[in-house]
Amino acid sequence: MKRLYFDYNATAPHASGLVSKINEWLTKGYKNPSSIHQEGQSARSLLEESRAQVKGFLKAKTTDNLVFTSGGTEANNVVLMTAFKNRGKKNKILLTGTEHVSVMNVARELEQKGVELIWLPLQTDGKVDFDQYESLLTNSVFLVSVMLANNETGFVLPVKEMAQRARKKGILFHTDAVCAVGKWPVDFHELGVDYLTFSGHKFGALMGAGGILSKPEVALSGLIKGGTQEENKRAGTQNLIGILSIAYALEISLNDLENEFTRQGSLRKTLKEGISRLYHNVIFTESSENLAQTLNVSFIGLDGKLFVTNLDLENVSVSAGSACSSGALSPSHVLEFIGCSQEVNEGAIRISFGSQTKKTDVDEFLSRLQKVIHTMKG
Amino acid sequence: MRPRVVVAMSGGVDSSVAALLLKEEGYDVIGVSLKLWDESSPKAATSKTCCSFTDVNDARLVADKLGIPFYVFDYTKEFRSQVIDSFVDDYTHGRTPNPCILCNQRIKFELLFHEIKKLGAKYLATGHHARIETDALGNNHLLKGHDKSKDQSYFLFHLLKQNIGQVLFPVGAYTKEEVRLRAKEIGLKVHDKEESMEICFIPDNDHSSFISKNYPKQKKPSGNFVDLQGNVLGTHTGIDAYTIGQRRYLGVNVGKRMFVTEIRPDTNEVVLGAPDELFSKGVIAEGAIFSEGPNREGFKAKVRYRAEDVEVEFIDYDKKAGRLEVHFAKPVRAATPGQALVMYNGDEVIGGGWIKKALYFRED
Repeated sequence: MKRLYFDYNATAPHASGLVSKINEWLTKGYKNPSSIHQEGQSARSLLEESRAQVKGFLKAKTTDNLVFTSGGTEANNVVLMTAFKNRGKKNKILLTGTEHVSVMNVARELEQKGVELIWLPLQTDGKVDFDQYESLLTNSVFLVSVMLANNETGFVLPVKEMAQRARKKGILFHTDAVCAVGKWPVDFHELGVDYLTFSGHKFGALMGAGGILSKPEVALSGLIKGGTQEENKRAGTQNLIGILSIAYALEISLNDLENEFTRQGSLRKTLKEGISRLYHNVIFTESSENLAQTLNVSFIGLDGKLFVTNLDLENVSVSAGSACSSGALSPSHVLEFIGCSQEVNEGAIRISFGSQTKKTDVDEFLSRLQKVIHTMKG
Repeated sequence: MRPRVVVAMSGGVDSSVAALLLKEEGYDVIGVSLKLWDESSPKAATSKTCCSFTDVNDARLVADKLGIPFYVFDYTKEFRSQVIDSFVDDYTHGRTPNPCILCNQRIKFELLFHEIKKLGAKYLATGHHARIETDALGNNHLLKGHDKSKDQSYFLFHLLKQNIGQVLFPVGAYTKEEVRLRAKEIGLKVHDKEESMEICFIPDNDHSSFISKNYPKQKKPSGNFVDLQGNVLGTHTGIDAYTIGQRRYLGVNVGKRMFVTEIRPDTNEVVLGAPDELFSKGVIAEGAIFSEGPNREGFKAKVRYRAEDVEVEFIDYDKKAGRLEVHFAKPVRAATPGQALVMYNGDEVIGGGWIKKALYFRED
């Protein structure tokens, strides 16, 4: 039985043509981009070309900085730690409880060092109350960190407006765009944020490479010390192939973004209608501004963890909650934060798909889902 | 394909081979490891116990090698509320618990058993050395494992209350050596893995500091060591730190070897005595089940996993109260409240319960 992959938000399949492209890069024998010999020089050229391309794809100016990292987690760590180091007399970070753990856990660690965390409430439909937001944006806040698109629900937050208000008060703004890049139009300049972080494998590049876009006037100090790579902002030999794959995959995913968004939106609609027919008591956790390719659905009365297991046994990959290091699933902190009830959280699964998902896959998904619901009801 | 079976895989050799044997028999096998204790605690992360990260990965590699699906279920919360809480309650009330039995009873054969039904599984299998046989009338019997030195039926007596027709113990028919050999033959890395002897959530075996650290409010205050005559012999560190038969770490010097012979939660006393004061003539168990046949001849009792079976000469079972009183044919050392009393007729488990009280000769 063919496997159906509906877990793009965990990692997306490689961009089409990437494998042969990698073969080509490896065959050319590029060497260390920091070396002065010709093999190094040509690697460096390619690396810088990719940097310029990625900046262009994300609508950053040439003067903006793009530092490549090992991925989204490192990128988020660096931004929070940099802001912490330069906080001066301010001591608060404003964030939502729906952030990725690579933001939340760093913030919690900073809390141990005296930082006060201000949690911006979100409604169950992902809306921000701007009056409340304004009132929380006090003089003592040194950083606002808010996801552009949420990986579990697909909520897209009004980052542009939020950043504007923060910038007016001279507060640094970071958006974790890991789940947005490649799925939603991302315009660094228009968003007006100080930092934007992303991860390559979420849009079809290799795992192990991501980056931080930042405005030229804001600080950035890497966590990893050593050589002077990345303009002294991230030591260590660059993951050349990973970085090249970012430029390659991003170009492909942006090429057809609008059409894909419409097409994926219609797949999403088919899924929602199909699921509602198969199970009477479902709740979709979504926002009016939502990624087209993410569908968070709670089957009230069924256990999301067993659901994921059952679907896997039927050769369908989805996810639920968050996985710990042993691979066990825990309830979602995102759904909890936005006020979903326990039964909504327990019955939730995340279905996420993308450019390689076809209508026939969605139909087949629904037919296997029917079988699983039957098994789960016993 | 034969029915679907979920194998509870600990990452040890027995449950690994259990999965292998079922696969060979043509079952639709799924491996499941249970996350029972928070592995983020530094001790647990490196230890080789049934809950650790290393063990889950061992199980994962075995499942991969066998080509069976593998999942990890997080029962941390349930394990804490249904096993560890009760473990702490026992120690702080002068009993010596057996958390492995509770874990089998409440976590594996209740919670997991219930959940795997929702995976479409017909059977639950584990790597226990025990056997289940069906007689001509279709009744199932729980028996000791073929390898008597590794028999684990003691940990499973509660299954008498459950539907053992849907439980499989594939390695129960083999010796441990045979099990290890099978694992080695197909190249399982776990073939020579050491057996875990300690309690999985207390890898350093120090249950008293576990209680102080994790259940500080329940930690018992220090009190007196006394002898049977009531003489004060010294100061103990809290009754939760002791078990019947204990000789080491008492810190009392009275010129002769002393053992813990009784723990008195009501007066916060720990009684020390000579070795012969540890012997009892029988026990009273509660929460007991007992399924006797027409004949009571030759029934035996086991009061602790590593204790030998002793013949019993008197049995009184009150089904309604769940009370089982047995008297042994010869004195038994260190029958301990909190441990299980398990009854056998030959190889067959015919009853069991939780020891409430040992009956001493001195009480006559």
